Amino acid sequence: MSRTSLIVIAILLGGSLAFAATVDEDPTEAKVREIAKELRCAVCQNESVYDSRSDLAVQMKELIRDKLKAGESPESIRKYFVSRYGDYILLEPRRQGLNWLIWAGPGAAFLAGSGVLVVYLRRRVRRDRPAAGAPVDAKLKKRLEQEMEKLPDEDVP
Amino acid sequence: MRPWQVVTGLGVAALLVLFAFGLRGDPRFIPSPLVGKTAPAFETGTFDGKTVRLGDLKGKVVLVNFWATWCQECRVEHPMLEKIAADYGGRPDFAMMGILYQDKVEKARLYLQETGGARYPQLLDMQGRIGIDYGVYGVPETFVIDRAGVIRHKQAGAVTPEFVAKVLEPVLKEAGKR
Amino acid sequence: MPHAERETRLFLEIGHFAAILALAFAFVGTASAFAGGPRNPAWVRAGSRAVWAVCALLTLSIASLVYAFLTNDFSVKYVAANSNRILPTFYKIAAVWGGHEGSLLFWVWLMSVFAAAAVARHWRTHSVSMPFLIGVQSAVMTGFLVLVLFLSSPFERLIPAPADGVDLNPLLQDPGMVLHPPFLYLGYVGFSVPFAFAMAALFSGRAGDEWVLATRRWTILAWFFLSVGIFFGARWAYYELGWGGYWAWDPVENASLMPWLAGTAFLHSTMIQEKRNLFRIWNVALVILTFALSILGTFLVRSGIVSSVHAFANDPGRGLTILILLAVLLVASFGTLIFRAERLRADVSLDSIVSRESAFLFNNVFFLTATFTVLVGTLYPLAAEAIMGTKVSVGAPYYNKVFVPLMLGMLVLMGVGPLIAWRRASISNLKRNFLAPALAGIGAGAGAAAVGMREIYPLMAVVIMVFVLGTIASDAYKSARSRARRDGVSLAGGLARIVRRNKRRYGGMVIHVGVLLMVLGMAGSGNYQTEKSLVMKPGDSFTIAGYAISFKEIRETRGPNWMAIEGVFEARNDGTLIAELRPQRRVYSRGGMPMTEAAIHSTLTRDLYVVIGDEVPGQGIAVKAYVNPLVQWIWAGGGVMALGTVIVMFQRRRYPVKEAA
Repeated sequence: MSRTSLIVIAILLGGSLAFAATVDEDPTEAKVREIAKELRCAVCQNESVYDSRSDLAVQMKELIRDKLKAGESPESIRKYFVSRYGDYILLEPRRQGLNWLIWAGPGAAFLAGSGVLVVYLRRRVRRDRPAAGAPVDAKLKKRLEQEMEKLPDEDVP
Repeated sequence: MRPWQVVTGLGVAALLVLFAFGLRGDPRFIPSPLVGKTAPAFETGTFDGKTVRLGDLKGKVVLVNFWATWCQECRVEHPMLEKIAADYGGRPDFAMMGILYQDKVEKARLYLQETGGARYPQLLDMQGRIGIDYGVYGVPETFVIDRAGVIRHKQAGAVTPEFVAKVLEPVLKEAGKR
Repeated sequence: MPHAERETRLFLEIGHFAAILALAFAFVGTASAFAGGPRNPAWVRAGSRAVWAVCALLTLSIASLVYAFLTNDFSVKYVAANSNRILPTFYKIAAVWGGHEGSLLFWVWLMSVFAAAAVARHWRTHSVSMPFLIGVQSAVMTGFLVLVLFLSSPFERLIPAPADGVDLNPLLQDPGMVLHPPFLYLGYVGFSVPFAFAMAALFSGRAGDEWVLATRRWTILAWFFLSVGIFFGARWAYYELGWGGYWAWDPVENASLMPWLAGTAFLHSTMIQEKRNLFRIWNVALVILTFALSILGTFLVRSGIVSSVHAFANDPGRGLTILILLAVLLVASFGTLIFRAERLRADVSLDSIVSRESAFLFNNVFFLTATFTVLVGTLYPLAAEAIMGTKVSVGAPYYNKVFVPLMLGMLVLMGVGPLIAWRRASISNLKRNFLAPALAGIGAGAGAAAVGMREIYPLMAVVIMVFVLGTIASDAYKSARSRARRDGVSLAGGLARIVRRNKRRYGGMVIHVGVLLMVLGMAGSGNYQTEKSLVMKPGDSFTIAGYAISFKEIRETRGPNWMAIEGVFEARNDGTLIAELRPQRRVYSRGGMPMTEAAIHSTLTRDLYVVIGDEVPGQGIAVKAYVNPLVQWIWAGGGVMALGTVIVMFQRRRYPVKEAA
């Protein structure tokens, strides 16, 4: 954008002051946003179509707007973009095929981690239960526990 | 070997194999889902105000090149496109066209003057709709459409002599046989 | 050639030569330390001198590059590509780390400073670890210097020199961006010290306990830097990128998040080893993982393996070298871990599953699951291409969905962990510590539901946040009260005393409070953002979330190396003017994409955020407006976390290593 074009914009915008009005968002805009936020701007580094200011993204948003106004459903618009650009354009991978790896992966990793940990802990704990030959006076034990409880939960060395 | 040792070892190995693969791949190449499908129809004006319809070109092998003046590689491939136009432009069963992608006509005219013009029609894509319809994500991109109107190939990046020999020629040949 | 100019150029050549010498010394440091081992003090001494030499030489190199920027020496290719005559001085210095080549050199330089500092600090106290400390750090520096000097040299010349340079990427011309990379790098290289100690523990086989104590401060320092770096990155994204958010799950951001998550896991589990002398192998593994992820992230971003379509100009030779270096690092570190770990095995015995030990371990499960999620999400596109030949994207919508439940789980644990007893928690311990906070949380959740909150995640967040805050508050209160009684001081005095007595515990609690504030901000802005995109002319007005915003005028303004159009907006609430907002659209004099400067009016409850975009011919100018609730709490939370970290860092070493229980 050159200096002159800046001035031109300023004049153009200033000149239209006479027609000032209260404006509001186009009612389809919320849907446009919803769709465009889930599409990848193909020419950007990891930006959604909605957030990108590139020409392509702007045109894609216009296309989405026009399609919505023509009565197309968001689902069919999404399908259209996938048919043109492939799955690459979806920022959220579809839940199908190999993609389940990343959808189920975190949950599986968490369960596996927790499982291994619990098994490990149980084994460690059981192994070290005091031997049967060393009975502890139940009263003394209770007293000890009570005293421990009274101590502030502090890391006293 | 304990299980964790095996898992750790395999994990590291898998990671490295994956990276090695990543280095080999061309990050620019995105396979087009359009290859093998009917080419999306379009109707648009040329720089000189004529109208071009893809539908009118049925029965011809069509080469569609998306380009822009701000694209370096387009400058690189321009002579090759001119050569294709010179070599095949005379054939009745071949048509080629350039589509200006996200650019201004005036700039494109100047550019063509500088580079010695184009022997094939240049079309406009005012709202970028044709580009989106063809899943263009960067220029230059070149599509080869066969006689039946099916997209046979998408070339991302400059056209090369190999492209002509390995992609365009075979499609033209098979079209001739039919 | 004028005399002064010749001197300038000479200085850069000296800097270049210094970097080459530094490579030689780094190699010498590696070789002598490993060849010498703990039994040859003379060799180790030579290695330590080499570390010092590398640090001094690289300081000279960096100085020469800074000087080249300040004197506009465009005969240096890197300077010509990343600076120009009208670039403000501040950004000229930042440009040293603003491009690929310079930032790598900057990275090694920081690493050399850390290495020298670590050698100086531990020279007398850790003679067993010392050769390995020197060797490992020198080896990493050697690898990086090879990369810098042979494949990404910032010292390359451009002949003939252009009259003026191009520009520093305008995106980087922001104070936040100037601070963001150095802190990130400090974090990455900071983890090299604990890493080197962990490797030393594996090599020597006997340093199983001392290394954790020795590296605690280093770890906290590195974690602090990394956190600050990530924080500045998020702020920069929020103020500069103009999309109303602060975290985009970009591969570059993910690269910094992974070591942070793994490092946080380590910070927690290291306490079990210190207190109970358990899980040595696990801690060694975590440190190695953390540092490996630091390097991995740096490499991923630079090798071009994970990038978008239009990141061209990736020299294949550079990518291959990066891969080889990464392979050497991963194989050497994890290989050592696999084959030497048995030596560190301690006889582990636990008293109960319900104990602080297991809470810390569950913390690790959560943080490592999070790390795994980010790693897999970042690498999955690559894997999908390798296996199926298709390209897929994994972006923000995916991470947002997967991360929220994980974060909620972590929060719960954050409330439980610090209060549960070591060794064995009894029912009464649990009841005493958690009953009231849990009831408070449930009550708060019910209250929120009663006033109309219906979304499940925000409701859960409310319950959990109140619960965690309750545990922290009740613990602090009880301890402060008992201290106050014992010492006969006021409650506030008691609080001050317990914090002073156990800076680590209560510093940690402060960090947790900071996390809570941050989560509050994220939950608010993530779930209740309102946005509008409009096309407006001056004179038009609109309302958003109860605010009336009118577009007064559009005008031109300029800075040292940019000019901009600036929209003037007035925001009113019930007719009262509350703010004048002036978003800009800057065009830097060297061209490139126009940059947005968002205009933001912040209060504790919400940010009013306005950006202007392109003109729409004949209709006006594109305007985006957002009302982002509670965003300021994120920054406040960051500040509180920093405060807590500083408190923790003042903790003296006061725990003697105990025998295994």
